[in-house]
Amino acid sequence: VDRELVIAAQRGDQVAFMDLLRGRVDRLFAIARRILHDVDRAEDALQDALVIAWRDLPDLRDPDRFDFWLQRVLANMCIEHARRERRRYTLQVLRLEDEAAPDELLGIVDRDIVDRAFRRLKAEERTILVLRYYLGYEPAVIAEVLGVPAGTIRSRLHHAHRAMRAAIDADARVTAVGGTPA
Amino acid sequence: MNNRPDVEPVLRAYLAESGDRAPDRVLEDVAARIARQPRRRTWHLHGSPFMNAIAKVSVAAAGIVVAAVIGYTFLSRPATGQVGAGSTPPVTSAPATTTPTNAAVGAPACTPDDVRVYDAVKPGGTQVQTEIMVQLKVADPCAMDAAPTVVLRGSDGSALATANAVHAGVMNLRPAWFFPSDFALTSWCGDAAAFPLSLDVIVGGTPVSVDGWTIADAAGLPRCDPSTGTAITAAKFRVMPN
Repeated sequence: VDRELVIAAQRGDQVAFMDLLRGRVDRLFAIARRILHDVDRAEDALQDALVIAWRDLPDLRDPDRFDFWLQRVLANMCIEHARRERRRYTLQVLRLEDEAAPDELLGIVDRDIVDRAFRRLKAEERTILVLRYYLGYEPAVIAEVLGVPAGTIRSRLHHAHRAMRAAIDADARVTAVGGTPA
Repeated sequence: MNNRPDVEPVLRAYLAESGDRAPDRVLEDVAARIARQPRRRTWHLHGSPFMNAIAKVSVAAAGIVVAAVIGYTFLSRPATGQVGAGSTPPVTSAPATTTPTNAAVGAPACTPDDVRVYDAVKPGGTQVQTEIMVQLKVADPCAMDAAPTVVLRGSDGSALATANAVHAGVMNLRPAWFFPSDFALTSWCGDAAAFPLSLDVIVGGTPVSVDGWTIADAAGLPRCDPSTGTAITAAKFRVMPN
């Protein structure tokens, strides 16, 4: 059914396009929110991505790849928005609050420390981490979604891990001696 | 004793699902925007943020070669008989001027009635960075400046800031072709303005309002960057065949 909707949307059927989005918009918003760390910016980026997706949809060759393609459009738009924000503002802190705190690991590593470490990553690295640990994609799939070699993704994942590790350790050290983390 | 938990499970827990739901207005606004935005095929390259350095250099080199070939082709031609001669509307290297010189391109200067000017990307959202689109409404080609002069206005008609054309030359507009320019208002340091704000593009010396662009209140303006002051830019028009 989705394939038919994609084809109809490619031919200019706006209702079909909106039908496609309805079942996906919450998931896409969650991705944008995690990459951008800001609800308002995530909403803006998502809207822009969906408008661009409508414009460029006729260029999608395989309708069965719609979801991957849409995630690529969104990821690129989030990175673009993050770059704009970096030029204009310091990114606003957004805590991914979850009162249920499902994983006790975050009791070991303070959520604020993880939050600060995550925000310090480049938008490209945050994007890869979201695809890897939020959507659960393997590096080869991330490479496919983002249109870059798998080796590049593995390299950036490795770098993001190291950056997170270093930032968490540094933040924890500062906090342990009673300082104020940057 | 190693008290450092592995990063991967920490990240999984940190990014775990927490009941995200997109606001209803997202789809409503998208529906409104796509209804207002004509679909057009994109032939310009969308650079991926993940593009590696070799690919970026290759694309840049290819662009320079193509630009050099096109530039050589047009510069080596006589100045007359250019309308309809090639597949790409010519952007000439004539001296900077606010009114196109007919003799330079062989087409009359565009008037406000000849063109439609609209915000192609963000008719409903944040307006500070967008794409201003110019399209010919009439059958016959006309010429206008190759780079837009854009004026930011208050609701009282006062000119608050201007993005001046920095690229000399004129271009021929053709029916059903699109001419986008990247517009950005990245810093606002001005005094209180009369809202809503609007944008004008100067066509043939006359301001033409950018349809769909507005900033409703001060919250829509970017913050002041003291290092730049008010910063408003509009890039040279690109040419997009329909």
